[in-house]
Amino acid sequence: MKRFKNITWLFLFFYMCGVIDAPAQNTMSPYSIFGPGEILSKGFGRNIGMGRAGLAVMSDNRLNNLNPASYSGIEKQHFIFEIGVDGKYSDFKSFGDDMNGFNGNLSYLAMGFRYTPWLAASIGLSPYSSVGYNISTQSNMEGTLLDYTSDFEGSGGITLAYWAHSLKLLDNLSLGLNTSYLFGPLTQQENISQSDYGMYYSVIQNDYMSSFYFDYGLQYAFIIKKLDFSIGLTYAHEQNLLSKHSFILTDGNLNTIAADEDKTSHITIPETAGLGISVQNRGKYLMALDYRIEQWKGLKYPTMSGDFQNAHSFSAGIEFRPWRESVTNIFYKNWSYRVGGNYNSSYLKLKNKVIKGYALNAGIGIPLKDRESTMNVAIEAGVNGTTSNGLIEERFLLLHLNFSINELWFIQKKFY
Amino acid sequence: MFWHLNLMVKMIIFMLRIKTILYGVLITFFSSCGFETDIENIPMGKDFVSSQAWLSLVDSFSVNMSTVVLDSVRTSGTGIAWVGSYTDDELGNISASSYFEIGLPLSVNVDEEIDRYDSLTLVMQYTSNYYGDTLSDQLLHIYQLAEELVPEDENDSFYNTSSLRMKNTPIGSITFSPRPNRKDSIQIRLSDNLGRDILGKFKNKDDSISTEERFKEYFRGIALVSDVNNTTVLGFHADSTLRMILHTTRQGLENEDIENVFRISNGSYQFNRFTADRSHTGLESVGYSEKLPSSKSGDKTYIQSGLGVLTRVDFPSMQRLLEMDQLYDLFKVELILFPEPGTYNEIAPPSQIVLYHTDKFNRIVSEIVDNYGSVLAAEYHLDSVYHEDTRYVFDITDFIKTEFSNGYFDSEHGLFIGETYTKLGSSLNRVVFSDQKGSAFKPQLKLYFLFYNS
Repeated sequence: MKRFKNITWLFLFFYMCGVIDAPAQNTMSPYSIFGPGEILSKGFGRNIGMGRAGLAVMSDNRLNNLNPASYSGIEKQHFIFEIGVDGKYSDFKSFGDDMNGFNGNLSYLAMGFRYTPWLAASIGLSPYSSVGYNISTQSNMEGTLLDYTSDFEGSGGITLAYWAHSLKLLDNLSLGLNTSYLFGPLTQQENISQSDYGMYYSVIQNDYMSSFYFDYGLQYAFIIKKLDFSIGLTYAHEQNLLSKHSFILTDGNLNTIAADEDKTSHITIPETAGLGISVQNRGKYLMALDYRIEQWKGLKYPTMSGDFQNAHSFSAGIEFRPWRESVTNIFYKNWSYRVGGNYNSSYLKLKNKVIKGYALNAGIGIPLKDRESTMNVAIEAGVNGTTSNGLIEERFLLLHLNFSINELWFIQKKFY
Repeated sequence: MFWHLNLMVKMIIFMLRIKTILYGVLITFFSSCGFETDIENIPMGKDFVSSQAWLSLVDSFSVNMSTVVLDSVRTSGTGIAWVGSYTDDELGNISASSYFEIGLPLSVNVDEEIDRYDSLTLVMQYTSNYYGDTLSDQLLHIYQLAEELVPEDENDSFYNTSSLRMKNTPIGSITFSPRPNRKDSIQIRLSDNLGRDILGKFKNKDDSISTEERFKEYFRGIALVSDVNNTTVLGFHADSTLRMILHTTRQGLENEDIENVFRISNGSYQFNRFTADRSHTGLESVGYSEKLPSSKSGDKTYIQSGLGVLTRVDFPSMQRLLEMDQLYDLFKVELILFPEPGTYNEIAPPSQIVLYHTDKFNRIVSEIVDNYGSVLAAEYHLDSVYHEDTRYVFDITDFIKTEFSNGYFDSEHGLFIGETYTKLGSSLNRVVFSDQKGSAFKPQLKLYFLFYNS
């Protein structure tokens, strides 16, 4: 009976969030018009508190999805479940314009486990990119003195379902392979109206992505002066995501004038590499530093003008425990505290300006009753873009809530 | 591999059992599970979008204008008797004459003994329609027809070119100062010989007045003919107000004036003959059913209804639409024609003109209707202040789309422009269209496009 109840909850849960049917809309940025939309950073609650760094960090009681090699750190008989939600407040400023808004959504679902001492895995669902914008323009109708209005509405986004495997080759060397399935629509609706002549049209362009994507990782651990060092590498080659492109042109009476349903198209995800290093003094602190590069230069996207450039990002963070963990401690003394920051120079170069962003992060990890599960809370405050050259600056404040739930596998709880 | 699957199934079942899933449910309620925003459409980001569709007005498709004179236009049964002549600055000397039958009075009031002949008159009422100059005196002649009105074809029709033999001498003439704008009549004294003859036939109960048919053999009908020096063409009602009256005096203690009224007998046979002397005009060289390009008529084209003069419009480059590289939707096609400035002050253009399908033989094929079946008309728009925007605007979208529906545009399929078919033979309305290359009054073909990329 109880099982059925839980199943019901689970279905309700997925249904409400629409994670399966339609990816949650995670953005409202005008910048999301470009490429696959706004690409959302990976990382679970712990990473977010640490400035989203962690390529070299092993999974333990908390999963680290930044590097597929990390899962071999999952302890024996542990089953880890991660769920995260975001609430993001954004304020956009441009020359003469200002807008703001809030959106909240389920961010990810994941679970990790170990098959054997040398093989661990994780499956999960998370947003890869998101599109959300509303842009209104006026253009002159060629051959006349009149203007017409074009309203652009972008929506959709790519969801990533992954199944990662981590193989422990040596005690201090792990390899990871992450097989992802990327799916979801990228939609732009353009509504054109010229009321003097009674001309109304609507163009809907939809790319429904569905493609596999692979990326790889490596983690290597070593000890110097009793400190645990680790190096993490990630790599993904340039890959094409196949899409079904559909195009529908309708007139003011919603009659279809032209439609193209089954054109196969693709978008290209660039070659990506990352290098991270971490230093850990167990029970006291963990420091992580990451660098990532994405080779966007030379990639072409349909319906896009301008060139991309290579994207770089740096993240750094630290997690520390000011007090030695003890059951007798007052509650906050058993918490983990995290701070970090990140800086990125994105693949967009608009009006001669590279779109850059930076953010500062802070977070806490609160152990739950069973001591192995944690509730992680993180905030990230940052800036993307710039208001110069008529561009747009986004200032955002993100609140993240994450549960890392640990269950012991194949062990009856009564013995524990 | 099987152990692998088995493991997964076990794991999922296990997962469903764990109560910690309730944490997730809690989280779900905590989050709003979707996108919430109060953002309106704003221009922010307008430099980022690259439009896949755009609107454009293209007016570079050429319009070829020409004038065509139909070999004939039906002019019978229009209810108006046109008579007179005038010289049109643009189209030369125009003459109109009118023909109709006269029937016996409904009841004859004649006393053989005491009625004495007084006079025979023709009374005609103005319609207020006229062309030309009404300030000077006009001279009209009334003739008796020498042959019967026999229609030229199975349509019971007479045409602007129809003509009938008349007796040599007129039975009456009148010089008068026309007052077409008053609800007035003119009365024309006819030949006394004819009048006495008719009275005599009534008194004698002659066989020729026994039936309409016999009377028609005796009195074939009347032709109203203009003198060559007239300056106006006048329209008279060709209905029951058009009367020939035999005036007699019934002698007694007090003389009594008696009228026997003969009226037009077969209105549908009444017709008008229109002729034009086009020497020294733009249309001097025009032949029937031939295209006369505007370049040969002073960069102008003409409409003159009763004479079958129509403007023909061709779109020689329309085929280019099919060769365009860009995808498009043709929203609307407008054809805008401007009357030549200075030509529409004296003679007002018709309030409405329509389009006809025509072919390479310059025949009227049919009136053009829109997708709802109503005649595609353009209303006359007068810019009486600046004289810059006097125009007719046709929405020829459906025509163009229909022409293209079979995949090509037949450039032999032109358009005639003129008054509606029912009005064509009933007036001398005229328009002079400008086709001055490079002028503001040259014809315009406006194509409203949506261009798009798929």
